[in-house]
Amino acid sequence: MDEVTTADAYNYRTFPLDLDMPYFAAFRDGAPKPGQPAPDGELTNAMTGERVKLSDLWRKGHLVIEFGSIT
Amino acid sequence: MAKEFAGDGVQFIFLYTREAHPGDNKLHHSSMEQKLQHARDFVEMWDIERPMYVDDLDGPIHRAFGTLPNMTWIINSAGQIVYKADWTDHRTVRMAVEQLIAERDLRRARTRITPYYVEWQPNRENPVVEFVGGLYDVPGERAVDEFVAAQRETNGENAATMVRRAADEALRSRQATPAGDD
Repeated sequence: MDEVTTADAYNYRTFPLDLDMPYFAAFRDGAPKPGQPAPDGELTNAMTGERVKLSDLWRKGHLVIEFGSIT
Repeated sequence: MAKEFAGDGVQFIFLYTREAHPGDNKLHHSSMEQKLQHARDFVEMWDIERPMYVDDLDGPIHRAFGTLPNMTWIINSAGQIVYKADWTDHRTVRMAVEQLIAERDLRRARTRITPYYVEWQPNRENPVVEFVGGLYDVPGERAVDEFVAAQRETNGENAATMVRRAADEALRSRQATPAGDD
């Protein structure tokens, strides 16, 4: 659903002009849906440096994930 | 909310992503060390008590979940998505968590349950003056100008004008507070 692959493109320097609507539509129609398996992957705990898999977390109990940034 | 539901075995985590509105005072990420440092800055700025995680520099997990800047997703303990929202709204997150607990109680009571599917478009608060004011305060003026330009390009002149007025109001309220008086 998302053509961005390089770290430099992902971490854009200026806010893109066309970000809003295409990304919201892709979220609705392209991203996984309720009832489907969640994507898995490795995370780093920012405070402890510990590496965990998302699946290690959800196996311990239901998992609410809020995404965000400072700006 | 994280504390309230901890006894029910529901975990709340924060996943720090790329900077949505990078500016001169809060730069885009060019290294993993910087991304981790920004995540720790975020914890300090907002007194985040939930565990704070980051994915890799190119955002593989953020992209797998749809790349939006302020989403909330809920995954059940079987690894199945039960809730996805393109913007975080504490009201519907609470409802979804309470629903999970109600389902657990039904299972315990040996009541037969079956999945069903909902799509929903509720409304959330949109404190645009506070949001644009935050852009002035943290990344700086360039991020405000870029956001106004994106509104014009994506949503039209009226949307750009609304955001510019909110930005002017945010700026006025900042200038009206003498330094040292706040």
